[in-house]
Amino acid sequence: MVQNKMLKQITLFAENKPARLTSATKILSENGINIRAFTIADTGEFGIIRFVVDDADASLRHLRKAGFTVSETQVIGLEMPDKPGALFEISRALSDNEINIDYAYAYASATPDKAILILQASDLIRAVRLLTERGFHLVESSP
Amino acid sequence: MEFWNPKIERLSAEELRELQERKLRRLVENAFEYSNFYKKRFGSAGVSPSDIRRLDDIQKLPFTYKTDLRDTYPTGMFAVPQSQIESVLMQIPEVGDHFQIVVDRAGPMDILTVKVGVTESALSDRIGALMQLEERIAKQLRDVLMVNAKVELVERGTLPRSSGKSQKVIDLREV
Repeated sequence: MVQNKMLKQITLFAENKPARLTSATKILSENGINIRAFTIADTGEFGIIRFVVDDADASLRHLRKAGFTVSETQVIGLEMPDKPGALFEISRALSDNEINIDYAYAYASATPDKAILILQASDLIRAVRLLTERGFHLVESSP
Repeated sequence: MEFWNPKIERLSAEELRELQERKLRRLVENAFEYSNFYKKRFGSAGVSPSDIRRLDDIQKLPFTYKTDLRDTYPTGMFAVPQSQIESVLMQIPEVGDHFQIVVDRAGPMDILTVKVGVTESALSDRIGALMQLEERIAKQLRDVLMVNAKVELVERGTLPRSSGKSQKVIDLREV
């Protein structure tokens, strides 16, 4: 199943003013939710904060209840060996097939010498199939 | 030979005049219909929009003086009803009812800002898509009403809860 090979990512809309990240992460913290990875993209006036957490459904519920505008999207979590050329292999596999990377961010894996690359692509389903075929290890969504 | 706008630049003198006259008539009709100031000013000059048909008729139009701008400030020269702005915004699915119109000043200019509350369905994980949404709303206001507005995406929580008219439009200008 292609869907199992995707991770749920939470996107949160925030105006560019102090303490928005603090309020959002406070809610996650109080509800015992662990943030695995996150990244911020901003335009100066507003930004979006993207999270990968251990419990996406609970995060969405609690953030909504607190009045945040949030949405859920699928992304790929890709295990990346800690050695030269790792990102090159991934990016070549996608570009050879004309799949565009919309954004990506990384976090250190619990497994030593591995990093996890979070990836959003123009054609996510094809990207999952292709990377699996090429022998990359995709992080499975937690049950 | 290259043209920036092949259609307009290659019009015959006759066609160009017709275009100018059509635009003049539209401008005069719009000013008369939507601006109370011009309705009165045309009235006291004894001019009706139907008198302005040809370019030569421009001499029949009354002048607008510096003192007029001063005396009618701040809203006396408005010529687009707020309800029109609202109906354009309501027709954009991502906007719906989640907006507020703010009128403010920067130096000598009035600035119209439209604050749009982002809904979950409009919230994309791609920031480019949100920036395009801002541009699309601004373009719609420009195309339909010829109004230049700055569009700002905001958190819905910062907009007033009530959809009452008084809170939909906020005027921050000091007279």
